[in-house]
Amino acid sequence: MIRLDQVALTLGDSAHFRFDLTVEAGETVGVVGPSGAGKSTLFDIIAGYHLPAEGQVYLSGEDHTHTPPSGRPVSFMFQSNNVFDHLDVATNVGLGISPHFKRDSKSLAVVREALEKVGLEGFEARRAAALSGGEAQRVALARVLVRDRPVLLLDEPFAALGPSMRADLSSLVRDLQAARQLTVLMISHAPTELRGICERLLFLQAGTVVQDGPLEAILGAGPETPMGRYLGARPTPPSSP
Amino acid sequence: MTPSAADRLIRPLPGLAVVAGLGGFVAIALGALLFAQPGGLGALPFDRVLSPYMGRIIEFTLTQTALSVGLSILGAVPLAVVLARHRRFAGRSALVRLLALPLALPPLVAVLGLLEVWGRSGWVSALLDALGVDARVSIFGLQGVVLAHVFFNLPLAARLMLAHLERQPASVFRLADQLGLAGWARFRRIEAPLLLPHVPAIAGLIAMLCIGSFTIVLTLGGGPSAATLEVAIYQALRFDFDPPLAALLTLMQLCLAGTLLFLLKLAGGAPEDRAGAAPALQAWAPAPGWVASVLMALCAGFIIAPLAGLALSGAQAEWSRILAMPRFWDAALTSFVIAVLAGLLSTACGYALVATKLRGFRRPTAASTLFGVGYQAVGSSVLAIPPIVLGAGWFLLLRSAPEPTLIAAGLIVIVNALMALPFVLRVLEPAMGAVERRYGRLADGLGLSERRRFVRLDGPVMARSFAAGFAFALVLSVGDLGAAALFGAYELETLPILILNLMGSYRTSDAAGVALALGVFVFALLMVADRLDRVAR
Repeated sequence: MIRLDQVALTLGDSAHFRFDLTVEAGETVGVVGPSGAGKSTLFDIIAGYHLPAEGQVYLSGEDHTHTPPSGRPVSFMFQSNNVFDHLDVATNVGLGISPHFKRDSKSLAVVREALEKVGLEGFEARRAAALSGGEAQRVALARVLVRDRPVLLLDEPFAALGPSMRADLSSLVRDLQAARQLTVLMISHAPTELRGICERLLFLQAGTVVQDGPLEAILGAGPETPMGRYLGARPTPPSSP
Repeated sequence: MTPSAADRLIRPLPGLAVVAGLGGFVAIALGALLFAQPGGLGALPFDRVLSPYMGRIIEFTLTQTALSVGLSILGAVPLAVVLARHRRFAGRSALVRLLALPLALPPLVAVLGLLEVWGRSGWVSALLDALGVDARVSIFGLQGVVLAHVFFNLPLAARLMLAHLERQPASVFRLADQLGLAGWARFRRIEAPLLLPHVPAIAGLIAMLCIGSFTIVLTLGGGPSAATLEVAIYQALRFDFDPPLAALLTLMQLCLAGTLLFLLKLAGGAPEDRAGAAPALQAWAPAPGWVASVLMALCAGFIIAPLAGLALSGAQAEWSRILAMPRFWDAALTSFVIAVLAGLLSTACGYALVATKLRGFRRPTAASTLFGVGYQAVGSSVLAIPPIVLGAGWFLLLRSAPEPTLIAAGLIVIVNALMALPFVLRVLEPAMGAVERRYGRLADGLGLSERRRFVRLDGPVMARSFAAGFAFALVLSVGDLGAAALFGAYELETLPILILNLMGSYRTSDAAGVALALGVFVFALLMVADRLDRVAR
């Protein structure tokens, strides 16, 4: 569960953000909007990289307004650089168990199980720098699995991947969400791609949520809505940002 | 209209001429030193290689280098890590910029500051006395040389390491924050593996600077027992007048520096100093804890205290007497004229080299390969061939020529220009690269000749970069002691030489006053150069 209660924040001199929204446990919600609308800032507030100037942040029913990032029930996946290139795959995943991860048989068994679930059996000893983009994102997902936090934030996690890899990974995310009953927020530049993943959509503009509702309702609301204008300005969803 | 065939032929000439001229200058100096003895190379006293005297010099050179490098690196790692972890607190950017200061100061100015803090009657002694500790602090000898080298190189190493950490994508540190990697776990998993590959190159660079250190060892070494090869060359020429010994020492210095330069190349070349250039954007920035705060305060104090000490004692100097000394004004004028000429020469050579590198050759030829080698050599010559060696060679050649003062001044100008060249290139190359990318094809299309190109394009567009390069060269030349020290006999008293002479005649207060004046001048120039360079980027 995510609840932002009258959260306000100003970055720099002129970027004002105001969020007031609730996402129920187990929901998967798409986040769409032009660049600079505040999508990443919204994620940063939830993950704890930005502290709000006003308002409260509740996660899983608890007030986490002032909790540092590592103490929040949140996992975060970026578009790229989700793994430490200089470490091997097992350590990358294992650091999700604990920052003081040690290679004992119990931890390695947990890592192996997670890697199997994302289709990377036997990758433990590989250096992360040698992985392909898709493999690196799978390693990041395996770490999300062992970290086992109820909220998952995905910041265009598939944007740098090719179409088939993208389909594979998004079904992996869907399975993961269903199995663990995760609360998922997912930023995308191609809202139509969120069909089949999200039931609900948020449209952000100028630092706040301007449209919030069922995905199909917002996508089909017509050219006079903010989403309509956004889609109209970009008739064919780009395959990469 | 594309450039005419004649213009295309002329294009690489300036750069080639500079490479040939500077290469010749260096080659003649080395040749004079090694071969112009009666009896040539064979007459060198090779039997002295194994003498106890030589053993002592080599041992001291290597010991002080190893200690300086080790301590600089050991101190720099925690400082760089702390600065990388805490990206937003009051004074951070001031501290990062402070780290660039020691190496830019004239070594002699820094030495006087260090004496104020660490000298026999300095602050640290006074503090220990007040605490009732009966420990003699002595800044002379090995510990003083190492202390001064750490003062110069610990901040440099910290900046280079910080630059490597800041170059990482921001997500690396966000991920580390989210996974709760803090303290030792963060160092072991993230920072250490990121820094480790760069340590050899940083250590190599510092080793080169320490092996070639002249002013520090001359002033703080404290006598023949604590001399490096550099200082021994100087003593052999200036006091013993033993050119064969100087040549032998030079040969050993070249072997040592050459070996080190080779190892440095193996380690991945000289590291680039871009700390603070692109700070990793980090929203969640924890305030530094008390350990980090104490560490940063200690480092800041270590750098600031000598500067403050010099400022205080320099301000207390009898300024009315210093300003009434014709000798002060003569030295200031000499320094200024030499520095301006060296700066102009260095900037002009730098422009010719960069222009030729960027647009002198349309396809690889023998000439372009030759030029590339020369360009590289010019860039690292300062490290491998210390000014004292260049000075020594020409000193031997021209010691009986007429007009010695004029010739000495000319040589100092050329040596200083050569020393400053790598720094000038570092400013001009990116600036001109940008001009070429933006306007190069247009200028070619208009058929601008090289001269028109300078007048119409490079001159106006790169004016700030030229000024910045010139100012950096001015800073280096005006504070130089190495090249000027050898020619002191020719009534050429520059400001650093004047300070040295005042120290030698125990007029410490006057020396501090003159050093403060020089320090303030250099500091002002640095601010201007830094501002110009930043704006130009």
